[in-house]
Amino acid sequence: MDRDIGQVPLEPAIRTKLLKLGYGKIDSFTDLADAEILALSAKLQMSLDETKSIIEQIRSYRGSVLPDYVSVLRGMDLLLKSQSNLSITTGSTRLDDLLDGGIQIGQLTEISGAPGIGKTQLCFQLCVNVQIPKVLNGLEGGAVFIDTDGSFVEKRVTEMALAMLEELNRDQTENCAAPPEELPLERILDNITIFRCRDYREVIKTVNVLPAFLKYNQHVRLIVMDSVVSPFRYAFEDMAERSKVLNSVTQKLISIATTNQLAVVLANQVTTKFGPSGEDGHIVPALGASWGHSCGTRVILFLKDNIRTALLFKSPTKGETLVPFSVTPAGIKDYLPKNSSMVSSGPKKRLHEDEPMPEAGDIVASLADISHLAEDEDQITFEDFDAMEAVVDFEEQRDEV
Amino acid sequence: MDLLKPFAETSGLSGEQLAILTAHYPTALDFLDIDCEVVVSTIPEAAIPLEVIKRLRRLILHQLIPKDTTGNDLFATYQSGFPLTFGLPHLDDIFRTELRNSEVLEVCGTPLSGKTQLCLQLICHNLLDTSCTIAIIDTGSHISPSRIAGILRLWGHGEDKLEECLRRLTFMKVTTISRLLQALDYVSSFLPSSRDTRGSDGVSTKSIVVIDSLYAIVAPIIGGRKVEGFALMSQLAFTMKYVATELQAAVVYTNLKPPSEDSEAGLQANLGVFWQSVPHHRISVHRVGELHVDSLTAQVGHATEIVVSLVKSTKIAPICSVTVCITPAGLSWKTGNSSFDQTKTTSSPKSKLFRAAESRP
Repeated sequence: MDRDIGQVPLEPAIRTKLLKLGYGKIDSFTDLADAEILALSAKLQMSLDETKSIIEQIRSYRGSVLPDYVSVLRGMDLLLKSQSNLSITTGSTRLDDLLDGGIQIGQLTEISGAPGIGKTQLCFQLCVNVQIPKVLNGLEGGAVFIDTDGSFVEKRVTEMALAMLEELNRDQTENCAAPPEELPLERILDNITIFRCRDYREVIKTVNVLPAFLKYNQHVRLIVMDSVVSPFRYAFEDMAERSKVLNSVTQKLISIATTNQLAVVLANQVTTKFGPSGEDGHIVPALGASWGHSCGTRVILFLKDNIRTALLFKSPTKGETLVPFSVTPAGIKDYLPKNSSMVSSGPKKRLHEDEPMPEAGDIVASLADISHLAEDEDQITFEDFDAMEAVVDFEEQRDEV
Repeated sequence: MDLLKPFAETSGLSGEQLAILTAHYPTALDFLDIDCEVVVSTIPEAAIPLEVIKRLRRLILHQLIPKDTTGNDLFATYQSGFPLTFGLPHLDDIFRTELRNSEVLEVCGTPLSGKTQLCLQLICHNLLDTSCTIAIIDTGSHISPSRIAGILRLWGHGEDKLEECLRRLTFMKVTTISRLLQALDYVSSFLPSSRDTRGSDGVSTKSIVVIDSLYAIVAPIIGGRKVEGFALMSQLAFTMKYVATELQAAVVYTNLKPPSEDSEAGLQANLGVFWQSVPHHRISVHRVGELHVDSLTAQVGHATEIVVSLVKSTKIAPICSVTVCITPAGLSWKTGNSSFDQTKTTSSPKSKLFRAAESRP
């Protein structure tokens, strides 16, 4: 087959010049004499070394040889590999079961939910849990937190880290396992790198810098972006442009996840979608349909009968699954019924004195009321929703249409 | 645009003459644009006889013009091919065995509509045939080998068969369009049909290439004001057609579809009008029921119903749609349906047109 030089990622200007000079096919570079290379470099007005590197780049595009960055695996090998893959525990056993053992390495996982439901809490928990030492079946890795909302609260992370350390020590004494390496609190916090991005340009920059960053920080096993939606929600007038930028960011992250063998978790907000004539407001993840294909695993967190519930609705391995969970001062834990002494507070109440974003908690309460109303089939007017700008996003609705 | 030099080298010109000729006419196209007499008079210093120029011209034309194929040749190729089946009678009925290798099939649908599940059904069913080679090009983590193993186990196959099947399956992970093009290039080097359409035992070998999802890879290069993306898209379309027609492999890829209640737009898939004509067949997958938290919660533990309809085909009138269920064991025929209603049509205006055309004597 004739391979066009169009498929080699060259600078557009160089490609146009090469096309004009008649070098439109990759095969026309296979056996160029030195004199011809010299003539070509003169025609391209480039130095000989530059020309040679371009020719080298084009020559490397041979069909029968695939560069090692495109991984080719037999199904069986991949199956065996995926079985031995470790995953990041969420802290809740049932939530881990939902996710086939935890957040999967080498994949994108989307966590969506209304404000205050526990997305950010789960993200913090993962940043801490990824550091569990290998002797205790952890990954002993670092975490990168891409903070677009300014939602990273050191105090809360510290709290979770202390709770985890306490639990690890208890585990260790109970199981008489080999003593874990000393894991002081400072190191846990040290292992979390935060990139603060204020708009989508900074997100693009960060995602492009990450491969280089990861080269020097090979222990990183988790990238969290909280949230993926806020830099993109209103920044674009042209929706085609938005989905283009968003898709290229996602594809970069998938590439990073596969090449570096790390997990990527993207927190997404929710939006309310109405039927064609404005009836039946239902909660759906934000960013619309063109985003929907990006993540291999998608989980939505919501309140079901006033219990925090995680719904897995897209997964490469299984169908829809539902589990309850709870957010406690010590972090994400299994849901235990109310009469149990372990539960510190009901989900509708504020969870903890130190809980970040108290306003978010308030919204949960009112959102719960509204979702309750919806269940009772009461009429909800648009004015009611209007008052809650944080939850309802008509802009998004318009995009969908 | 091919260089003139490789052609001129074979025409018996001296080194000096060759240098002068290629300096004036670097590409074959430049050379063909000018009359032979003009060529001779433009470069008198080379002193190339008119006969040689004419011979060179004939040589170039002979090599550049594609080989002529007759209808008989094409029919023979068609007959030696095989129909591509999903292993689900009613689903296969909508194609009436006209979905064959050497064709490109697009599976389009909104997110969560079951596009990947349809591909998995195709993969698992064909994987059981030991002569079949399947390459999966995954652009995210959409297809999991453990899901394939799970389906095969539920179909009652033992671990030995499972291992043998999975060993014949090739996974490739790509994240950019140039790597996808390379991967397709690579596929052509290991598909059995690229060497010989018949295996050692004389039985025609099957090969299938599945790309899931194509949209994810094309989306970053389209939209906005850049036209570059279209060049790559047409290159991709060309490469896919090459793999299908020249290598006799079936190419199946998934594309996204804009969510819309409008039946006219229901026929459209993403990637623009330009892309509409690329696949030979297009099937649209549509999930029964709404896609929001409440309905998804109600779905837990139940089989998901999807409607598969043929919306574009180069051979058969696209008028059929069929409802199937996604179960842990792949796709299954919707239970409770006693008979398959062949006349069930999609509500699109296009299909009405087709019906009108068919009912005419």
